[in-house]
Amino acid sequence: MKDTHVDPLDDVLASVEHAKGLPNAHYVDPGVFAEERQALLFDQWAGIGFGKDIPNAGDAKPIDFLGVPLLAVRLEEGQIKVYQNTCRHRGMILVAEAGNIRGTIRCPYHSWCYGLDGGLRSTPHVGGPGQNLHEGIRREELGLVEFASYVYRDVIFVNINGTAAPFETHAAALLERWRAHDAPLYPGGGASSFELNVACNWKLAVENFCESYHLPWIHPGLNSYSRLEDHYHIEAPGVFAGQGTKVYRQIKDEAGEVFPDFAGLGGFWDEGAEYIAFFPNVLFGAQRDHAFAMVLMPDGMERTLEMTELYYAFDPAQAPEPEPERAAMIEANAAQWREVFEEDIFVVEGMQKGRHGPAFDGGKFSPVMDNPTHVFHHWAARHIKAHRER
Amino acid sequence: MCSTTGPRATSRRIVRDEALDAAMLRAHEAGDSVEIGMLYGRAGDAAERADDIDQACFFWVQAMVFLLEAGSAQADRYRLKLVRNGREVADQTESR
Repeated sequence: MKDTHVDPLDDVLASVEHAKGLPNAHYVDPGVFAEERQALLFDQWAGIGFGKDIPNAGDAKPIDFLGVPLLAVRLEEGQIKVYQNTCRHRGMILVAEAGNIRGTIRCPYHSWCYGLDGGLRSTPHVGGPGQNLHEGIRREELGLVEFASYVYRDVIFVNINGTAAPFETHAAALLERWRAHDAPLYPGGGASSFELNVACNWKLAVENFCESYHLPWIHPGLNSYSRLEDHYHIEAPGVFAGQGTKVYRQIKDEAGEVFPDFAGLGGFWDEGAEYIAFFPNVLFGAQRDHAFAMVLMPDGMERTLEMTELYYAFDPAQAPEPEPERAAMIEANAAQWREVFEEDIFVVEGMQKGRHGPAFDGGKFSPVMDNPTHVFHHWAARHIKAHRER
Repeated sequence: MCSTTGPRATSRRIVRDEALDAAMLRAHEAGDSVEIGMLYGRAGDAAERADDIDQACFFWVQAMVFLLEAGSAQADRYRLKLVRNGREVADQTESR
Protein backbone atom coordinates (compact mmCIF):
# COMPACT_ATOMS: atom_id res chain seq x y z
CA MET A 1 0.00 0.00 0.00
CA LYS A 2 1.30 3.44 -0.83
CA ASP A 3 2.39 5.48 2.16
CA THR A 4 0.29 8.62 2.03
CA HIS A 5 1.70 10.07 5.22
CA VAL A 6 2.98 13.57 4.66
CA ASP A 7 5.13 15.29 7.24
CA PRO A 8 3.73 18.79 7.69
CA LEU A 9 7.27 19.96 8.40
CA ASP A 10 8.06 19.26 4.74
CA ASP A 11 5.59 22.01 3.88
CA VAL A 12 7.53 24.38 6.14
CA LEU A 13 10.77 23.43 4.43
CA ALA A 14 9.44 24.34 0.98
CA SER A 15 10.42 27.66 -0.63
CA VAL A 16 8.65 30.68 0.82
CA GLU A 17 6.28 30.86 -2.18
CA HIS A 18 5.00 27.38 -1.43
CA ALA A 19 5.67 26.96 2.27
CA LYS A 20 3.26 26.86 5.15
CA GLY A 21 4.15 27.98 8.63
CA LEU A 22 4.77 25.63 11.51
CA PRO A 23 1.56 23.75 12.37
CA ASN A 24 -0.50 24.55 15.47
CA ALA A 25 1.05 21.68 17.40
CA HIS A 26 4.28 23.66 17.63
CA TYR A 27 2.50 26.23 19.76
CA VAL A 28 -0.15 24.29 21.67
CA ASP A 29 0.96 20.64 21.99
CA PRO A 30 2.94 19.79 25.15
CA GLY A 31 4.59 16.82 23.42
CA VAL A 32 5.95 19.00 20.63
CA PHE A 33 6.97 21.64 23.16
CA ALA A 34 9.07 18.97 24.91
CA GLU A 35 10.72 18.10 21.59
CA GLU A 36 11.43 21.75 20.84
CA ARG A 37 12.87 22.25 24.32
CA GLN A 38 15.59 19.84 23.28
CA ALA A 39 15.92 20.53 19.56
CA LEU A 40 15.46 24.31 19.45
CA LEU A 41 16.76 25.40 22.84
CA PHE A 42 19.03 22.86 24.56
CA ASP A 43 20.78 21.76 21.36
CA GLN A 44 21.42 25.41 20.41
CA TRP A 45 23.16 28.48 21.77
CA ALA A 46 20.28 29.92 23.76
CA GLY A 47 20.27 33.19 25.66
CA ILE A 48 19.64 32.92 29.38
CA GLY A 49 20.39 36.39 30.76
CA PHE A 50 22.79 39.31 30.83
CA GLY A 51 26.32 39.82 32.01
CA LYS A 52 25.26 43.16 33.50
CA ASP A 53 23.32 41.27 36.17
CA ILE A 54 26.54 39.79 37.56
CA PRO A 55 28.92 42.74 37.16
CA ASN A 56 31.42 41.99 39.95
CA ALA A 57 33.79 39.12 40.64
CA GLY A 58 31.98 36.55 42.75
CA ASP A 59 28.51 37.61 41.63
CA ALA A 60 26.28 34.59 41.15
CA LYS A 61 22.77 34.39 39.78
CA PRO A 62 20.55 31.31 39.70
CA ILE A 63 18.53 31.00 36.51
CA ASP A 64 15.73 28.54 35.81
CA PHE A 65 16.00 27.73 32.11
CA LEU A 66 12.95 25.66 31.21
CA GLY A 67 13.31 23.68 34.41
CA VAL A 68 17.09 23.31 34.23
CA PRO A 69 18.64 24.99 37.28
CA LEU A 70 21.58 27.10 36.13
CA LEU A 71 24.04 29.21 38.04
CA ALA A 72 25.81 32.05 36.23
CA VAL A 73 28.91 33.30 38.04
CA ARG A 74 31.58 35.87 37.31
CA LEU A 75 35.11 34.78 38.15
CA GLU A 76 37.91 36.93 39.56
CA GLU A 77 39.29 37.48 36.09
CA GLY A 78 35.94 38.75 34.83
CA GLN A 79 35.05 35.65 32.86
CA ILE A 80 31.50 34.31 33.15
CA LYS A 81 30.79 30.62 33.65
CA VAL A 82 27.50 28.77 33.78
CA TYR A 83 27.10 25.71 35.97
CA GLN A 84 24.32 23.35 36.80
CA ASN A 85 23.08 24.78 40.09
CA THR A 86 23.05 21.34 41.67
CA CYS A 87 25.33 19.86 44.32
CA ARG A 88 27.18 16.74 43.21
CA HIS A 89 26.37 15.10 46.56
CA ARG A 90 22.61 14.91 47.04
CA GLY A 91 21.42 17.07 44.20
CA MET A 92 20.51 20.03 46.36
CA ILE A 93 20.12 23.45 44.74
CA LEU A 94 23.30 25.31 45.61
CA VAL A 95 22.37 28.96 45.26
CA ALA A 96 18.77 30.03 45.73
CA GLU A 97 19.13 33.79 45.36
CA ALA A 98 21.39 36.12 43.41
CA GLY A 99 24.24 37.55 45.44
CA ASN A 100 27.98 37.82 45.78
CA ILE A 101 30.02 34.75 46.65
CA ARG A 102 32.86 36.05 48.79
CA GLY A 103 34.57 32.70 49.14
CA THR A 104 33.30 29.31 48.11
CA ILE A 105 29.84 28.17 47.05
CA ARG A 106 28.66 26.18 50.09
CA CYS A 107 25.85 23.72 49.59
CA PRO A 108 23.23 24.61 52.19
CA TYR A 109 22.54 20.92 52.88
CA HIS A 110 25.80 19.16 53.89
CA SER A 111 28.14 22.06 53.12
CA TRP A 112 30.14 20.61 50.27
CA CYS A 113 32.16 23.59 49.06
CA TYR A 114 32.89 24.60 45.47
CA GLY A 115 35.18 27.31 44.12
CA LEU A 116 33.93 29.83 41.58
CA ASP A 117 35.93 27.80 39.08
CA GLY A 118 33.60 24.87 39.82
CA GLY A 119 36.23 22.79 41.64
CA LEU A 120 35.16 20.86 44.73
CA ARG A 121 37.15 22.47 47.52
CA SER A 122 36.03 20.53 50.56
CA THR A 123 33.74 17.69 51.57
CA PRO A 124 33.14 18.22 55.28
CA HIS A 125 32.75 15.12 57.47
CA VAL A 126 32.46 12.96 54.34
CA GLY A 127 34.62 10.27 55.92
CA GLY A 128 32.94 10.57 59.33
CA PRO A 129 32.85 13.37 61.92
CA GLY A 130 35.93 15.57 61.63
CA GLN A 131 37.22 13.63 58.62
CA ASN A 132 36.90 15.36 55.24
CA LEU A 133 38.55 12.63 53.23
CA HIS A 134 37.54 9.21 51.98
CA GLU A 135 39.13 7.12 49.31
CA GLY A 136 35.79 6.83 47.54
CA ILE A 137 35.43 10.58 47.23
CA ARG A 138 37.54 11.85 44.33
CA ARG A 139 37.12 15.60 44.39
CA GLU A 140 38.68 16.07 40.99
CA GLU A 141 35.77 14.10 39.52
CA LEU A 142 33.09 15.91 41.48
CA GLY A 143 33.32 19.53 40.41
CA LEU A 144 30.28 21.46 39.31
CA VAL A 145 28.88 20.48 35.95
CA GLU A 146 29.70 23.31 33.58
CA PHE A 147 27.73 24.15 30.47
CA ALA A 148 29.35 25.60 27.38
CA SER A 149 28.75 29.33 27.52
CA TYR A 150 29.65 32.49 25.64
CA VAL A 151 28.91 36.16 26.16
CA TYR A 152 28.10 38.25 23.09
CA ARG A 153 26.77 41.80 23.33
CA ASP A 154 26.31 41.18 27.06
CA VAL A 155 23.94 38.25 26.49
CA ILE A 156 24.95 35.02 28.22
CA PHE A 157 24.47 32.10 25.86
CA VAL A 158 24.55 28.44 26.86
CA ASN A 159 24.50 25.20 24.95
CA ILE A 160 22.88 22.84 27.42
CA ASN A 161 23.30 19.62 25.45
CA GLY A 162 26.87 20.42 24.43
CA THR A 163 26.17 19.45 20.83
CA ALA A 164 26.41 22.82 19.09
CA ALA A 165 29.43 24.02 17.15
CA PRO A 166 31.61 26.53 19.04
CA PHE A 167 29.77 29.84 19.38
CA GLU A 168 32.24 31.80 17.28
CA THR A 169 31.88 29.26 14.49
CA HIS A 170 28.11 29.10 14.68
CA ALA A 171 27.65 32.87 14.94
CA ALA A 172 30.45 33.82 12.53
CA ALA A 173 28.11 35.55 10.06
CA LEU A 174 26.64 37.76 12.78
CA LEU A 175 30.00 38.50 14.38
CA GLU A 176 31.30 39.59 11.00
CA ARG A 177 28.19 41.54 9.99
CA TRP A 178 28.31 43.62 13.15
CA ARG A 179 32.10 43.72 13.53
CA ALA A 180 31.98 47.55 13.48
CA HIS A 181 29.66 47.35 16.47
CA ASP A 182 32.16 45.63 18.76
CA ALA A 183 32.69 48.73 20.93
CA PRO A 184 31.87 48.23 24.64
CA LEU A 185 28.20 48.36 25.60
CA TYR A 186 27.19 50.14 28.78
CA PRO A 187 23.83 49.33 30.35
CA GLY A 188 21.51 52.30 30.70
CA GLY A 189 20.45 51.33 34.22
CA GLY A 190 17.07 51.92 35.84
CA ALA A 191 14.22 51.91 33.34
CA SER A 192 16.59 50.71 30.58
CA SER A 193 16.11 47.25 32.02
CA PHE A 194 12.57 45.95 31.79
CA GLU A 195 10.61 42.74 31.50
CA LEU A 196 7.32 42.00 29.79
CA ASN A 197 5.42 38.83 30.61
CA VAL A 198 3.44 37.77 27.57
CA ALA A 199 1.00 34.93 26.99
CA CYS A 200 2.54 33.35 23.91
CA ASN A 201 4.93 30.68 22.85
CA TRP A 202 8.44 32.15 22.63
CA LYS A 203 8.66 31.51 18.88
CA LEU A 204 5.88 33.99 18.13
CA ALA A 205 7.93 36.79 19.67
CA VAL A 206 10.82 35.82 17.37
CA GLU A 207 8.57 35.69 14.34
CA ASN A 208 7.06 39.10 15.00
CA PHE A 209 10.52 40.63 15.43
CA CYS A 210 11.80 39.15 12.18
CA GLU A 211 9.59 41.10 9.82
CA SER A 212 8.84 44.72 9.03
CA TYR A 213 5.50 43.87 7.37
CA HIS A 214 3.60 44.65 10.56
CA LEU A 215 5.24 47.99 11.28
CA PRO A 216 2.75 50.37 9.62
CA TRP A 217 -0.16 48.64 11.35
CA ILE A 218 1.16 47.92 14.80
CA HIS A 219 3.65 50.77 15.17
CA PRO A 220 1.97 53.64 13.31
CA GLY A 221 4.29 56.11 15.00
CA LEU A 222 7.03 54.89 12.67
CA ASN A 223 5.12 55.77 9.50
CA SER A 224 6.14 59.41 9.52
CA TYR A 225 9.87 58.76 9.36
CA SER A 226 10.56 55.07 8.95
CA ARG A 227 8.30 53.86 6.24
CA LEU A 228 7.88 50.28 5.21
CA GLU A 229 9.81 50.84 2.00
CA ASP A 230 12.80 52.06 3.99
CA HIS A 231 13.23 48.59 5.47
CA TYR A 232 14.99 45.56 4.08
CA HIS A 233 15.16 41.88 4.97
CA ILE A 234 18.06 40.28 6.78
CA GLU A 235 18.35 36.57 6.05
CA ALA A 236 21.09 34.24 7.23
CA PRO A 237 19.47 30.82 6.95
CA GLY A 238 20.17 28.57 9.91
CA VAL A 239 21.50 31.34 12.14
CA PHE A 240 19.52 34.58 12.16
CA ALA A 241 16.95 36.73 10.40
CA GLY A 242 15.53 40.16 10.82
CA GLN A 243 15.09 43.57 9.31
CA GLY A 244 17.06 46.70 8.75
CA THR A 245 16.18 50.32 8.14
CA LYS A 246 17.99 52.92 6.08
CA VAL A 247 16.48 55.88 7.88
CA TYR A 248 17.33 55.45 11.55
CA ARG A 249 16.57 58.68 13.38
CA GLN A 250 18.38 59.45 16.61
CA ILE A 251 16.48 60.48 19.69
CA LYS A 252 17.07 64.17 20.58
CA ASP A 253 16.23 66.23 23.59
CA GLU A 254 14.67 69.69 23.43
CA ALA A 255 18.08 71.29 22.98
CA GLY A 256 18.84 68.99 20.06
CA GLU A 257 21.36 66.92 22.02
CA VAL A 258 21.85 63.32 20.99
CA PHE A 259 23.52 60.34 22.62
CA PRO A 260 27.19 59.88 21.70
CA ASP A 261 27.88 57.36 18.96
CA PHE A 262 29.63 54.05 19.40
CA ALA A 263 33.24 54.43 18.32
CA GLY A 264 34.35 53.27 14.92
CA LEU A 265 31.03 53.28 13.08
CA GLY A 266 30.18 55.70 10.29
CA GLY A 267 29.12 54.87 6.76
CA PHE A 268 25.97 52.76 6.71
CA TRP A 269 25.43 53.21 10.43
CA ASP A 270 25.02 57.00 10.15
CA GLU A 271 21.45 56.43 9.05
CA GLY A 272 21.06 52.68 9.16
CA ALA A 273 19.99 50.36 11.95
CA GLU A 274 19.49 46.62 12.13
CA TYR A 275 17.26 44.35 14.19
CA ILE A 276 18.25 40.71 14.23
CA ALA A 277 16.64 37.63 15.77
CA PHE A 278 19.56 35.38 16.58
CA PHE A 279 18.07 31.89 16.76
CA PRO A 280 16.70 30.59 18.94
CA ASN A 281 15.68 33.23 21.44
CA VAL A 282 17.70 36.45 21.42
CA LEU A 283 16.64 39.67 19.69
CA PHE A 284 19.31 42.27 19.05
CA GLY A 285 19.07 45.88 17.93
CA ALA A 286 22.11 47.87 16.75
CA GLN A 287 22.05 51.60 16.08
CA ARG A 288 24.69 54.31 15.99
CA ASP A 289 23.95 55.64 19.48
CA HIS A 290 22.36 52.83 21.45
CA ALA A 291 21.65 49.14 21.26
CA PHE A 292 19.39 46.62 22.87
CA ALA A 293 19.17 42.93 23.55
CA MET A 294 16.06 40.99 24.42
CA VAL A 295 16.22 37.47 25.80
CA LEU A 296 13.03 35.51 25.30
CA MET A 297 12.82 33.23 28.31
CA PRO A 298 10.20 30.55 27.70
CA ASP A 299 8.03 30.00 30.74
CA GLY A 300 6.20 26.90 29.61
CA MET A 301 4.56 26.42 26.24
CA GLU A 302 2.28 29.46 26.19
CA ARG A 303 4.12 32.08 28.22
CA THR A 304 7.31 34.03 27.61
CA LEU A 305 9.26 36.49 29.69
CA GLU A 306 10.72 39.17 27.44
CA MET A 307 13.80 40.50 29.21
CA THR A 308 15.12 43.69 27.61
CA GLU A 309 18.27 45.71 28.23
CA LEU A 310 19.25 48.96 26.55
CA TYR A 311 22.91 49.88 26.12
CA TYR A 312 24.88 53.03 25.31
CA ALA A 313 28.36 54.02 24.17
CA PHE A 314 29.00 55.69 27.54
CA ASP A 315 28.57 54.47 31.09
CA PRO A 316 25.77 56.41 32.77
CA ALA A 317 26.90 55.04 36.13
CA GLN A 318 30.36 56.61 35.71
CA ALA A 319 29.27 60.14 34.79
CA PRO A 320 31.57 62.54 36.67
CA GLU A 321 28.77 65.01 37.29
CA PRO A 322 25.05 64.46 37.47
CA GLU A 323 23.67 65.00 34.02
CA PRO A 324 19.93 65.38 34.43
CA GLU A 325 19.29 66.08 30.76
CA ARG A 326 21.05 62.93 29.65
CA ALA A 327 19.37 60.88 32.39
CA ALA A 328 16.03 62.19 31.15
CA MET A 329 16.92 61.17 27.59
CA ILE A 330 17.84 57.69 28.75
CA GLU A 331 14.50 57.44 30.53
CA ALA A 332 12.63 58.73 27.49
CA ASN A 333 14.41 56.31 25.18
CA ALA A 334 13.60 53.39 27.48
CA ALA A 335 9.96 54.46 27.59
CA GLN A 336 9.87 54.68 23.80
CA TRP A 337 11.24 51.17 23.32
CA ARG A 338 9.02 49.78 26.02
CA GLU A 339 6.03 51.28 24.24
CA VAL A 340 7.08 49.68 20.95
CA PHE A 341 7.47 46.26 22.56
CA GLU A 342 4.19 46.66 24.43
CA GLU A 343 2.47 47.46 21.14
CA ASP A 344 3.53 44.00 19.96
CA ILE A 345 1.98 42.16 22.90
CA PHE A 346 -1.57 41.95 21.59
CA VAL A 347 -0.21 40.59 18.32
CA VAL A 348 1.86 37.78 19.75
CA GLU A 349 -0.83 36.90 22.29
CA GLY A 350 -3.45 37.02 19.53
CA MET A 351 -1.40 34.67 17.33
CA GLN A 352 -1.08 32.28 20.28
CA LYS A 353 -4.86 32.25 20.75
CA GLY A 354 -5.35 31.88 17.01
CA ARG A 355 -3.29 28.71 17.01
CA HIS A 356 -5.90 26.98 19.12
CA GLY A 357 -8.13 27.12 16.05
CA PRO A 358 -7.90 23.53 14.76
CA ALA A 359 -8.44 24.52 11.13
CA PHE A 360 -5.44 26.86 11.01
CA ASP A 361 -2.89 25.19 8.76
CA GLY A 362 0.28 27.03 9.76
CA GLY A 363 -0.51 30.01 7.59
CA LYS A 364 0.45 31.33 4.15
CA PHE A 365 3.55 33.48 3.93
CA SER A 366 3.82 36.58 1.80
CA PRO A 367 6.57 35.58 -0.65
CA VAL A 368 7.79 39.17 -0.54
CA MET A 369 7.28 40.40 3.03
CA ASP A 370 7.55 37.29 5.22
CA ASN A 371 10.89 35.94 4.05
CA PRO A 372 12.77 36.43 7.35
CA THR A 373 9.93 34.76 9.25
CA HIS A 374 10.16 31.83 6.90
CA VAL A 375 13.91 31.64 7.51
CA PHE A 376 13.11 31.14 11.20
CA HIS A 377 10.40 28.54 10.53
CA HIS A 378 12.72 26.73 8.15
CA TRP A 379 15.44 26.66 10.81
CA ALA A 380 12.99 25.33 13.41
CA ALA A 381 11.53 22.68 11.10
CA ARG A 382 14.96 21.44 10.08
CA HIS A 383 16.12 21.00 13.67
CA ILE A 384 12.88 19.36 14.82
CA LYS A 385 13.02 16.92 11.91
CA ALA A 386 16.64 16.07 12.67
CA HIS A 387 15.77 15.57 16.34
CA ARG A 388 12.94 13.19 15.44
CA GLU A 389 15.16 11.21 13.10
CA ARG A 390 17.86 10.69 15.71
CA MET B 1 24.90 -1.77 66.50
CA CYS B 2 27.58 0.30 68.18
CA SER B 3 31.15 0.52 67.08
CA THR B 4 33.89 0.91 69.66
CA THR B 5 36.48 1.86 67.08
CA GLY B 6 34.79 4.90 65.59
CA PRO B 7 36.46 8.27 65.53
CA ARG B 8 34.75 9.40 68.70
CA ALA B 9 35.56 6.29 70.75
CA THR B 10 38.69 7.72 72.30
CA SER B 11 37.33 11.19 72.93
CA ARG B 12 37.65 12.64 76.35
CA ARG B 13 34.60 14.87 76.63
CA ILE B 14 35.29 18.52 77.14
CA VAL B 15 33.20 20.63 79.41
CA ARG B 16 30.62 22.46 77.38
CA ASP B 17 31.18 26.14 77.12
CA GLU B 18 27.65 27.49 77.32
CA ALA B 19 28.67 31.04 76.47
CA LEU B 20 30.43 29.80 73.33
CA ASP B 21 27.41 27.68 72.39
CA ALA B 22 25.14 30.69 72.75
CA ALA B 23 27.48 32.87 70.70
CA MET B 24 27.54 30.24 67.95
CA LEU B 25 23.77 30.12 67.83
CA ARG B 26 23.59 33.88 67.62
CA ALA B 27 26.16 33.94 64.81
CA HIS B 28 24.26 31.20 62.94
CA GLU B 29 21.07 33.17 63.32
CA ALA B 30 22.76 36.30 61.99
CA GLY B 31 24.29 34.35 59.10
CA ASP B 32 27.69 35.79 59.95
CA SER B 33 29.98 33.20 58.38
CA VAL B 34 33.23 34.75 59.65
CA GLU B 35 31.96 34.91 63.22
CA ILE B 36 30.57 31.37 63.00
CA GLY B 37 33.88 30.14 61.66
CA MET B 38 35.96 31.86 64.30
CA LEU B 39 33.73 30.54 67.11
CA TYR B 40 33.96 26.99 65.79
CA GLY B 41 37.69 27.51 65.58
CA ARG B 42 37.79 28.48 69.23
CA ALA B 43 35.74 25.41 70.12
CA GLY B 44 38.16 23.25 68.17
CA ASP B 45 41.17 24.78 69.86
CA ALA B 46 39.55 24.17 73.26
CA ALA B 47 38.94 20.55 72.38
CA GLU B 48 42.57 20.22 71.28
CA ARG B 49 43.72 21.56 74.64
CA ALA B 50 41.53 18.91 76.28
CA ASP B 51 43.30 16.27 74.17
CA ASP B 52 40.09 15.47 72.32
CA ILE B 53 41.49 15.57 68.80
CA ASP B 54 38.41 14.06 67.17
CA GLN B 55 36.19 16.69 68.68
CA ALA B 56 38.75 19.33 67.72
CA CYS B 57 38.75 18.17 64.12
CA PHE B 58 34.98 18.20 64.04
CA PHE B 59 34.95 21.85 65.07
CA TRP B 60 37.87 22.76 62.79
CA VAL B 61 35.96 21.31 59.86
CA GLN B 62 33.02 23.51 60.75
CA ALA B 63 35.33 26.48 61.15
CA MET B 64 37.08 25.91 57.84
CA VAL B 65 33.85 25.53 55.90
CA PHE B 66 32.29 28.74 57.14
CA LEU B 67 35.53 30.67 56.70
CA LEU B 68 35.89 29.28 53.18
CA GLU B 69 32.37 30.46 52.44
CA ALA B 70 33.25 33.91 53.74
CA GLY B 71 36.43 34.06 51.68
CA SER B 72 38.46 34.52 54.86
CA ALA B 73 42.16 33.73 54.83
CA GLN B 74 41.62 32.24 58.30
CA ALA B 75 40.18 29.17 56.56
CA ASP B 76 43.74 28.17 55.69
CA ARG B 77 44.65 28.04 59.37
CA TYR B 78 42.02 25.40 60.09
CA ARG B 79 42.62 23.55 56.87
CA LEU B 80 46.26 23.23 57.92
CA LYS B 81 45.27 21.82 61.31
CA LEU B 82 43.06 19.27 59.57
CA VAL B 83 45.79 18.41 57.06
CA ARG B 84 48.23 17.80 59.92
CA ASN B 85 45.72 15.39 61.43
CA GLY B 86 45.09 13.55 58.16
CA ARG B 87 41.54 14.89 57.84
CA GLU B 88 41.91 17.17 54.82
CA VAL B 89 44.24 17.83 51.91
CA ALA B 90 46.07 21.04 51.12
CA ASP B 91 44.08 23.31 48.87
CA GLN B 92 45.50 23.12 45.36
CA THR B 93 43.27 25.88 44.04
CA GLU B 94 44.67 29.32 43.65
CA SER B 95 41.38 31.01 42.89
CA ARG B 96 38.74 31.13 45.54
